[in-house]
Amino acid sequence: MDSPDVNLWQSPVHAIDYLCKADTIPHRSEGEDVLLEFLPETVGRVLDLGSGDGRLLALAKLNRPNATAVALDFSPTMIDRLRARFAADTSIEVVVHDLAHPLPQLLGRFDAIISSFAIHHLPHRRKRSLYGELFELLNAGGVFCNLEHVASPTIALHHEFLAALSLAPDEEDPSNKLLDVETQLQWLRATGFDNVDCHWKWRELALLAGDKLQ
Amino acid sequence: VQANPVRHGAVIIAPGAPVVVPTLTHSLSEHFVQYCCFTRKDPAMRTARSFRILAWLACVGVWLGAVYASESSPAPMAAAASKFLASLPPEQKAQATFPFDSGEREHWGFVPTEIFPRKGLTIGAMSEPQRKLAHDLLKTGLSQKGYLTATSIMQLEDVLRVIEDAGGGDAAAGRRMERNPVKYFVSVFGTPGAHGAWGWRVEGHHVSLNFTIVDGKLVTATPQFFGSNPAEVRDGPKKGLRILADEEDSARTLLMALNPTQRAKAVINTTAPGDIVTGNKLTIDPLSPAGISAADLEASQRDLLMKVIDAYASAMAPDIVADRMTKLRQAGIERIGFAWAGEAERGKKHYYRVQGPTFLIEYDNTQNDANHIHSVWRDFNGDFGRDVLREHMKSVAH
Repeated sequence: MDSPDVNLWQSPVHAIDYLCKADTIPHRSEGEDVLLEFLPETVGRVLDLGSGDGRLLALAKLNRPNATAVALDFSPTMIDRLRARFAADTSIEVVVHDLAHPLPQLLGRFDAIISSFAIHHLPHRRKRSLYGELFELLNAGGVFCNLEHVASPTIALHHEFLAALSLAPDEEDPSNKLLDVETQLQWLRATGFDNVDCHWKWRELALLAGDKLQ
Repeated sequence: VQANPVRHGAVIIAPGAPVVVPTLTHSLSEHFVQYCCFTRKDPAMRTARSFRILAWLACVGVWLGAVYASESSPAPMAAAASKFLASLPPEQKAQATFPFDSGEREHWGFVPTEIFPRKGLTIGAMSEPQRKLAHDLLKTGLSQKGYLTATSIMQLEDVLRVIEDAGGGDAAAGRRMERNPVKYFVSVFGTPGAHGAWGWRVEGHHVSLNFTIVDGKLVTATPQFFGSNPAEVRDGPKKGLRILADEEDSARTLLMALNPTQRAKAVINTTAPGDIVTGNKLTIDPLSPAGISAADLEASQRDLLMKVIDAYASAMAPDIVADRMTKLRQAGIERIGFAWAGEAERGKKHYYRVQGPTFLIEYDNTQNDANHIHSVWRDFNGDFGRDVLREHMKSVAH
């Protein structure tokens, strides 16, 4: 049967619980550093999917201060945090949207699309169609960088990953719909992305990226 | 019938609506007739009119040419096929090419090659650059979604092998089959180009895509077959993957939207057949019973029916979709039937067909304890381009 399409991220308790633990995810900052390496030096417009409290976007803005950005999330708690965090930054627009549905038509086009630990909450079918939408939203020469929670090849490795996060198997986020790296790389390639690769990986955390060629 | 518009790249197609070019051409021709009538009696106006008409027609011609060139798949197909063939040394080219009138062109199937021997050049036998060119050809016939589907089905062979190696699925059958994601055959029939007829096929286990191109303009793409075993990956790192989810879910959504009277018409049997009824027959006739007719559906239910059709049509390149939808509409959307057999509950054995005057969609999910899909789009007169080839032969004869 299908993995149940549970997504608890609209729940304020779930969102705040995550924010309390966000800094403790092992090796997270390594993955973020590598993601930032792949952002073009002169990136113009950035879309951040599932922005959360704006952690990744804030890092991106710190490294690419001239960029303008759209932060997108659907959790009321996260939207409040985003608006508070970027209240003084007119170059960042906050958009409320559930990634389970097709992206809004009026977002415009982007030079980079980034995401951190968000897309794995979507059913696989939606992941696949979302990659197609993202390709259409990118300008030629643009990049898609997804720091993602992916599936382990075996249950034993999955349990080891959870243990590394000090989680028991029954404490795993029921919103997770994990998919392996290979399938997602294949989808990105088939969608039209070039230079597709997994540039960084630690256990179930991986940076998947691809370019839209000029 | 107004169904939800379907977006295919840059083209928006509303099922049931005429395609852009014929609509605009019709509108322009009306203006043209009106313009001629108003200016017919004044000589000075007649001269000026002649220049304006010529300029106008030239602009329209350039515009139509540009539209056609940007949205038509035959030219990119011919270019991609030529490039692919040019990359092959003679012995590989001999494997990949056949005369257009060869019987091989209609030798199609969807089961493993161990059961249904195939000719052509396998992707596995190609170098990396050749594989890229073969995939470039495949992309010219499909939408982004269709290409994703086709390549995901190929990759699913790896999943099936793991399942069967562990004793799952039909393990005994698995021991006899290779389950190889690069055991897909590319074949080119005739000479790719803007004149005459040629065709190409990509085929292997659960994928059969057959394209026929005539005079660089007309392209047909049936039989179109996609299958998926497993239909849903239930264990491992790809757990939850359902490559043909749209094909399954759209039909069940329509079935569940029917009232009891309508459902009694739609459900033609409480037991699903063991496979698609038409199998890999070369020619097919309309099936009976056809189930409930679109004429007996509410507008919202007809929209759901169009979504079932779109789940299949949207795998193809935009111009092929537009041609199919125009043909389907001209034959009468109200004459399309929907029939279901087997159980309605997900995970149970089921089958459905969508049948119009010109086409048949068949879907079956009964094998491997209802976790193995076969699905096909057939054209009663147009499989392998038979209808356009008949027209082509008439025009050549004259």
